[in-house]
Amino acid sequence: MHPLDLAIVLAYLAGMVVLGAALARKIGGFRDFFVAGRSLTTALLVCSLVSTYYGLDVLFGGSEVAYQEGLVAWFAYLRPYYLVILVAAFVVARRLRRHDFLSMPEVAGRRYGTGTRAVIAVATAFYALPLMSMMGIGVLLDVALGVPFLWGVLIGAGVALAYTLLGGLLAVAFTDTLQFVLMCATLGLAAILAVQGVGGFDAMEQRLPDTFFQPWGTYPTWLLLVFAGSALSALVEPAFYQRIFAAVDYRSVLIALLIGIVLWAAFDWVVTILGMAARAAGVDAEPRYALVTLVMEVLPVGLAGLFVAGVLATAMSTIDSYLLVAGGSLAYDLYRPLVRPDLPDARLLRLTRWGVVGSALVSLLLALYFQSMVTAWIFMSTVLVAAALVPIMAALYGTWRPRAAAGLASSLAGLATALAFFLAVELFGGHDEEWGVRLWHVEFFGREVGLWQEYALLFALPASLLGYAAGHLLGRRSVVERDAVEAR
Amino acid sequence: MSRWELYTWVSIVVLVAGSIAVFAWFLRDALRLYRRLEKHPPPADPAARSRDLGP
Repeated sequence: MHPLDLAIVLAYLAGMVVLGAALARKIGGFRDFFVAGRSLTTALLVCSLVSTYYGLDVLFGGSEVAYQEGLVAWFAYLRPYYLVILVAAFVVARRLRRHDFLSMPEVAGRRYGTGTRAVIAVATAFYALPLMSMMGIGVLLDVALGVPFLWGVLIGAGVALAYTLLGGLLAVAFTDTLQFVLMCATLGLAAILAVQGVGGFDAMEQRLPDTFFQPWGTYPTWLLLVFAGSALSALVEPAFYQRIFAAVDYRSVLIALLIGIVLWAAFDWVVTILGMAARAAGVDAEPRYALVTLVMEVLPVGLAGLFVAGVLATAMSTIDSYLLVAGGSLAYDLYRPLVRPDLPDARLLRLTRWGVVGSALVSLLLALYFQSMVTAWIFMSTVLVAAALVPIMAALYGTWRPRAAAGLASSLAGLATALAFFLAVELFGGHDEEWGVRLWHVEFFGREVGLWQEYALLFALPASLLGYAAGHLLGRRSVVERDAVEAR
Repeated sequence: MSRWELYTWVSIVVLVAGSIAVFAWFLRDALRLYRRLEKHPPPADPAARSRDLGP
């Protein structure tokens, strides 16, 4: 890499830490640290939502699917999210802003009690582990700078960790703005040069198979359903919830999400086209590395450094936010209600910071385990949706009286089913060469059916629903309900 | 020009121009937000902060 490009990357990394340090003195307590004192304006929310929710899982995961299958990456893998986010913007966010919540597990806790809050806190903390963005930084610095994978992960995650610990959500949101403009603008410029480098769109259409331009590609229908199902995670997305609680008002959230959907759709489309361009250019790399490899080949000095900084920004804006969510879930939603409900604010703040550090270490270990970005993303979405979707939606919209057992049984049934399914496919399945995933072939009414690890949600969500129904029918009245009756 | 190519150019324009416009909007907000934080610094008393924690 040219020294000028390297200087740009280093200046970016140093700038993030300086900004975090400058905002550190604005942190007075947990509320300032975790929801920025409810001070985020519309513009800050747009930048923070777009850059946080789009990490390298989308950049590399989306381009990985596009490199292998074409436009189906946008139509089936990415597009369902916009519909779900639209629902979140108009329906869920409005309801959430009526209450004084600070976190998603707290919503469940208010309705079902501490047990459900704890289970959802664990699922949230697990989902929030930013291992895919960490993997992405390792890959990026390896491909672009020749830095060994592990060192790349340590540098990128270390910088994000530093400013998150210093300035909390305010530092995260402010750094997100720079990261937002950097990641969007550099990706747009990279797309222009990459498509031209391949010989234009016509050349891409000539070199790629026709199926690459079919919106539904060649994936099995069940897998397309799973892709769409994983978008449900946007309804229980902890970083969304955190920003909804951190916004100055509901109107800001609504406008920010609507602008965000337009930007997300554009970002996804460009990522998809870049993945396809890499395939058309004959880039010989692992599918998840194809986008970066192509772009680094076509960009001139200076722009290459900006692109690397832009991709680092994409990853770090996700790492910082999700580490904050994971640390907050462990301290505020797990330790405090279960162990010490009267925990002073200063100790809660310190514990949250330790939670952030612990989450970073666990993410690092998991980043070394998973091979495919898409598999890792689907697995983590499944865990969160399985544990949280049914109890949270019922908590927000159920008109019946809540039962603690319903929330707990629903969370546990969903979580246990998802984990059991993944484990079963891991133990009894095998690696499929055609799709490059783990598959478990089972006999079903005389027919052989291939179960993908990604199908876990198809079993876990009904299990969560059944658990809720059973808990509601068989469980005793919850503390919340008894209090309401006694008050009357 | 195919419709896919058209979508690509529209996406690039939205991405580059949109992100710069939102960033400019943020700069205006940031100044106001910073001034507000300067005027209303977080409470120094830990007990007051605990009361502010909510449920």
